[in-house]
Amino acid sequence: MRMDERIIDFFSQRLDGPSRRELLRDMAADETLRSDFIRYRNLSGLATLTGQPGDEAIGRENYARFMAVKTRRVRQPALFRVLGYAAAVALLIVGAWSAGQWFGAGPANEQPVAHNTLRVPAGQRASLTLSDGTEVWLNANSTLTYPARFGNGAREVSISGEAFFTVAKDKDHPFVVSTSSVSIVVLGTVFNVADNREAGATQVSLLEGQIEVELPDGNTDRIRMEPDQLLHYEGGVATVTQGIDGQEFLWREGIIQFRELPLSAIAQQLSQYYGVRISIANERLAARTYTGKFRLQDGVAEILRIIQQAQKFSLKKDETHNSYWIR
Amino acid sequence: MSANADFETIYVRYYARMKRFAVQYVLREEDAENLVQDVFTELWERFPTLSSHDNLFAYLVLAIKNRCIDFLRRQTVMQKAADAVRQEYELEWRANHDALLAMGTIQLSETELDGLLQRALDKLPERCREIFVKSKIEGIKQKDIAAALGISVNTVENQVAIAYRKLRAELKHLFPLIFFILF
Repeated sequence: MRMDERIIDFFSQRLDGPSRRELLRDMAADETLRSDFIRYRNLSGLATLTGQPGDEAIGRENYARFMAVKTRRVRQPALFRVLGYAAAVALLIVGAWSAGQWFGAGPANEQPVAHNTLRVPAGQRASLTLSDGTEVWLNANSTLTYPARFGNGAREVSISGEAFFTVAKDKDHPFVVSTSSVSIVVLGTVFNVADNREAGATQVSLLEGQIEVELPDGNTDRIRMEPDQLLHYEGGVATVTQGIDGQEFLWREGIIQFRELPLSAIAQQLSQYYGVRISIANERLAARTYTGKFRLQDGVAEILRIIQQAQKFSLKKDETHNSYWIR
Repeated sequence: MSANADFETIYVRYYARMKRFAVQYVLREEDAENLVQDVFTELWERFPTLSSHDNLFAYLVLAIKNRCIDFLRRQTVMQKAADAVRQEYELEWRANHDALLAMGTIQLSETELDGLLQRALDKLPERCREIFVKSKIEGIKQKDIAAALGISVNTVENQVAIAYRKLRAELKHLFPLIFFILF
């Protein structure tokens, strides 16, 4: 039996959009076509599993980033370990969230409400007041999505990146902030959220009032936070520590501060703020700590140059790719 | 060697290919990265308690495969997409979900799988192999391959198509059951 030629064309990228869709639709009705597609898809898939020359370099680069996140988590002195969840659960929530964004769909039983999105570009910051009087500061490279006006239920917004909230009190309408991993339920309070979607981590600092943090575990257990507490959620584990550094929120005034922070974390923060890529050649260098204060408007090149003077590394810049190499 | 060094070796060795594998099915790079990162996070947490890692490769392939299946299952139960591009994603995700479910469990070691695919690839004409590896394994855009080799995009497409046909025929004789278990 002859196979449908379109399958080869599909995988050789010889089909245009409409033909691709037609083939995919035809497969629903044609079992043979579907089997053939599956054979080729899996042939392609398994072929990718063979080792290639550049693999180790890619692996090493990502390993540095992976470990930077892991070691930072270990450094957190855990007052109490709230719960450990399978990482799969966190992934499920992130996946569902991004898919929701992708399809632009809300829950089916809700009336569609116009949503505004405020996106702050790299190297900048912004503040706005929502329709209920809540004040929000957004840090560089961060996004806030909020309804044009709040309805009768909870006041729901979502962020990615970092935001500082001063929530207007309204007992009947709880204020809910969703990040890529957790949700924060608020009655009226002042707090800071830093969500790092890439690392799947969220950090919540409570300055005043009371909030409850809902972890992505599907059940209704929430963590209640008191003022001056910091919650760090990552990889399915939430840790709460006492005592937050008010200086950390100087970003609202356009000031970036590092206090005994490893270069890996500094690089991560600067990449987030300025939308650049910063690679550190080795782990020993990545683990060195630095303390200092900068203005956001100084720019990433200048900040790295100043840190370079203290840490004595060499700095290479790739203008076209917006990348920096520290070695 | 410390446990940390072991973990690093494994990460560096398998990260890139696991990501390539995931991209084939979940289609978007950032989703693939998240899934691979999750597999390693889980491995990192379990690492101290792992007693033997003799077929760690099989473990990793199974783990990333399962992550992809979970991801695709979620994507395909999402509300019907409206426009054509989204519809194409949805259709392809659905097909890929079925493909992964049909894949069966890889029981080969890394060396065996590498050897098997390498042997099949080696049977391709040199030019044809070069183009196939660049396009389908290294993930380089066909346009860029054409430019680098000084040939037309059309030729690249044709060579990839020839490679597919030959590989399929080759692997069919070798290990039909392991690779192409259906339903």
